[in-house]
Amino acid sequence: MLLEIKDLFKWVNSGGNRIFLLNDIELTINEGDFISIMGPSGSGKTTLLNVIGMLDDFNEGEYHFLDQEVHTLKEKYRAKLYKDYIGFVFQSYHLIDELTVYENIETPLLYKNYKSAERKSLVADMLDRFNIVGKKDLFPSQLSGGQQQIVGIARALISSPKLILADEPTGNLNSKQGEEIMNLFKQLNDEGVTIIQVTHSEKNATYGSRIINLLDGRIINTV
Amino acid sequence: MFINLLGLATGFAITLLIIQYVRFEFSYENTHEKADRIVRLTMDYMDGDTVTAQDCETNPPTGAMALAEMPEVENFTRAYPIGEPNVNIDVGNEHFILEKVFAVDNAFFDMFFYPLLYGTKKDIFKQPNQAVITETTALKYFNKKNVIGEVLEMPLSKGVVLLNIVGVVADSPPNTHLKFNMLFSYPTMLSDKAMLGEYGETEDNWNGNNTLTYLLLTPNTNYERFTTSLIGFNEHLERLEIKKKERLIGQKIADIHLYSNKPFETEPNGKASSVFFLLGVAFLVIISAFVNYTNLATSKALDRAKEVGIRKVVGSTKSQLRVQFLIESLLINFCAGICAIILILISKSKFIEVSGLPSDFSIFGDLFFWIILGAFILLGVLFSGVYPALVLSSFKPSSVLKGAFTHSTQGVFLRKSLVVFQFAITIILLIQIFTINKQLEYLQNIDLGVNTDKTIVVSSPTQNTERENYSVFKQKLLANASINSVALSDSVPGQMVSQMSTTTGINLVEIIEDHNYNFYLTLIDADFIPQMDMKLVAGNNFDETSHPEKNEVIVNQKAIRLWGIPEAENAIGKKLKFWGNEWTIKGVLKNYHQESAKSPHIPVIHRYYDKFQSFASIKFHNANPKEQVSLIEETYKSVFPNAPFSYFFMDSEYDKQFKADKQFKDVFSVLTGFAILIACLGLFGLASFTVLKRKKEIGIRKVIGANVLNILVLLSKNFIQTVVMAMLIGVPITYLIATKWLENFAFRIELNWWLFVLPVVLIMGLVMFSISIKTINAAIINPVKSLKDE
Repeated sequence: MLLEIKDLFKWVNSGGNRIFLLNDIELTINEGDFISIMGPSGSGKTTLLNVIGMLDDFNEGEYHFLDQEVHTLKEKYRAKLYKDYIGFVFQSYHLIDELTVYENIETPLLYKNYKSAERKSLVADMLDRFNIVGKKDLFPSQLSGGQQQIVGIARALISSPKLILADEPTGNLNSKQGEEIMNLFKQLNDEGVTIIQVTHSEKNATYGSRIINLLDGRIINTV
Repeated sequence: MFINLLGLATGFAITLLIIQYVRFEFSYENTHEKADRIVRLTMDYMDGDTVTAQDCETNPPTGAMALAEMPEVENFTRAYPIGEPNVNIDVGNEHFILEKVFAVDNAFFDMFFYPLLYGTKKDIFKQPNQAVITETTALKYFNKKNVIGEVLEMPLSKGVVLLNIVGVVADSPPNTHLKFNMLFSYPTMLSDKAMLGEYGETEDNWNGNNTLTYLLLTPNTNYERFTTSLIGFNEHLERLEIKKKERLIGQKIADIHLYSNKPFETEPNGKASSVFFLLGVAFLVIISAFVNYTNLATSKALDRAKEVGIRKVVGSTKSQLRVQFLIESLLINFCAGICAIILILISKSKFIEVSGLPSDFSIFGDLFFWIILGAFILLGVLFSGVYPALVLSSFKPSSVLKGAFTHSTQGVFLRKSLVVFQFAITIILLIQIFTINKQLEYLQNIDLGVNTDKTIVVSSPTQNTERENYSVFKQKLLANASINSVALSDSVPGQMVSQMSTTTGINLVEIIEDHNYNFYLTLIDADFIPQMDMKLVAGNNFDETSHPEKNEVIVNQKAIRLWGIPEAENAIGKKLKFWGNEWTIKGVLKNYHQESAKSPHIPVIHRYYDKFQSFASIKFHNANPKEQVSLIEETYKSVFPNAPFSYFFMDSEYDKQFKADKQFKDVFSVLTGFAILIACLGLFGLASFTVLKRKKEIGIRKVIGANVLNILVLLSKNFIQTVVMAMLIGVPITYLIATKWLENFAFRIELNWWLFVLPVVLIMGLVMFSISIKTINAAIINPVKSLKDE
């Protein structure tokens, strides 16, 4: 078991009313899973992903990640936990415009105090693995959307996370590029990386092993 | 918005004040219609081709001779300063002390613009014993303004000069080098008995140079032609064997205040370089204020990009948007103008005090002030309104509403270089302040070679009969246990050298080197040297056996060096010749500072006297002299019942020498303070802009593992680079400026490394403080928030 969420609630108060963003979430994810979270706009997909990624907190409930009780962890330890085990992939890639492909991929290692030689070899591996060695000195703006997303994934993978969280990773891509990215995820999953993606696309959802449907912050069914 | 306004208003206010100050400094003599035609003659003492000394005062016949010999000269007047620093004036039974009294020629009123409030200019001052006084003097002495026909008495040692008041003028304007409280006719100098007894001036005296000489040039003379003519005049005087080792130099009177700093000036003058320096700094301050405003306005504008996008979507055109931004900018600049006026109102009196402007100086009454303020506002709109208006109005609404703006990196570069420039200036200013402070501190704490502490100096009575009673006065004083010593001298350390008499070309009888140096002469009694703690390096002090007729002198080291005597011991017993006599060197004194440590040591010859003719210095053991004034006054009054009591504290004379420097330092400090404030505001603006621009990046970095510290370092790095750049530019420049400035001083500090490091550290601290306000906020924000806008 990689993570387990029990009776999780997240809400905001608006004008005296409590609005539930996440409502009584129960979820267990095992290593090697490939989960797709689906649901209409505003159903809480991204919020759930952020909570799983420990970027956002919640008001009530339990969250176990590996052997840690995330709900009792202090901010500092929580940050360490997600730095060590979780990689993020975004719809609009979120690469740093001023840095080259190489530097973008390298950045997470800088924050984990890897030595220079180690960083070099890890980034080289990653460039190699995704066939973007030739593009390593380019800036994000010089790449196509699909290529940017590949860099985004490479950056997410560089510190060998156990879990990849992808928020509509193909949302800004055309269908061909999207398919490429989904195949990449599939391949990574086959290599043992756990993946949770938020998606609108039925087709993309089929790449996963399980689909969680959300509505108004509630899990309505799991396929 | 508030910061924006504050920065701009401060910039406006400080620049306006400085401009007014500079205008005042440059306005000297502009009340005199003929100022551009009036030239003052001064004298250079030559030794071959080198100038050994200078003097503002010339010989009495110089003006008339110039009028006769030079066709360019239309008229002349002398202005003979009387009784520097003051004279006694009696009105009936009342005793007054009057400063700034000159004997002038009839042409004075033709040359200088002084309309008479009462009296007539026709034939004025052609007769002896005529006087013109100012309104203020009239009110003080007679309680009325029209005092024509009243009589003033000026008691001198050989009698009383009677002066009939023939005119009353308005007070001298603050912007003239020649300020006076009373003028009297020059013929008085030549024919009044008491006057002749005191000054012995004659119409053909080519030996003593104690009068200022002003020439009025003919209307169409250009100054260059006059200068050429003056060379011929000098040659003429040389041919007549009147002036062999002196040369006359012309100065336009309008240049005197800022460009002349010679011995015997009528008042301490300003310095053009200081004034230009301040003006330059003020200019930089206003530029900085504009730069900051533009920076802040643009980053604020980016904040408003969404508003712009929405306005565009609902149909606003580019030009409508531009007009909107320009109007907003105009409003802000206008408000800044009003704030500036308020700031000036608040700080006006303080500024006038600090800068030494006349206390009734009008700032708002000057049309020029309003023109400049208007120009600032328009420039502000131009600088600060146009750029954001153009940038913002051309945003594409679709991308703006998505939250993505296009930033040109060029703009960032420009912005950065402007901030580097600002900080370079700030660092330069701060290092200068440190240097100026250190140097003035050094000068004021330097060992002067004399001890002026706890000493009251009293002036002698004017009548000889009273002066005879000095020994009684001295005995009475010494009977007090608190009084250490009483000594006589005709000048005291700390006074301007202009209050000493000078003679050139004093040499040894057995001439070693024949030079035309200028020597300062002073009279002292036997008590003076021990009282002042002056050190004799060879020979002896005057003693009971000393007598004025014995022609003994005590000189200082500087003097024997000029005569080419290397060892003080060798000087003892050597004979000097001057004034038709031979004088024996009895002692050699260690050099001491007569004026202040600002000027180099001067060669001084001390002659012996035992008459109470000028000053008696009274030194206390431990008492605070300020509390002892009444004791001295009582004693003085009991011995000299007919003399006005006037006194000063000897150490305050030294402090006076630093007045101008302190003023410059104060104005400069205020200006620097504002420059730093404005630069920090600018940095704050840049920080807000950067943080805004990098909001997304910060979010990304946090998600991929950066902690708050990482982010702070990331954001600060750039600013530190900025300051380091500024430092690299600023430090060499300021090193040059500081070195140059210190060259003005005969005694100066070494430029220490910490004088440079401390300001830089200080600036760095300020920088960290002003940016951390913004960056900490940005660093702790939850990245989910900054990455949301998809």
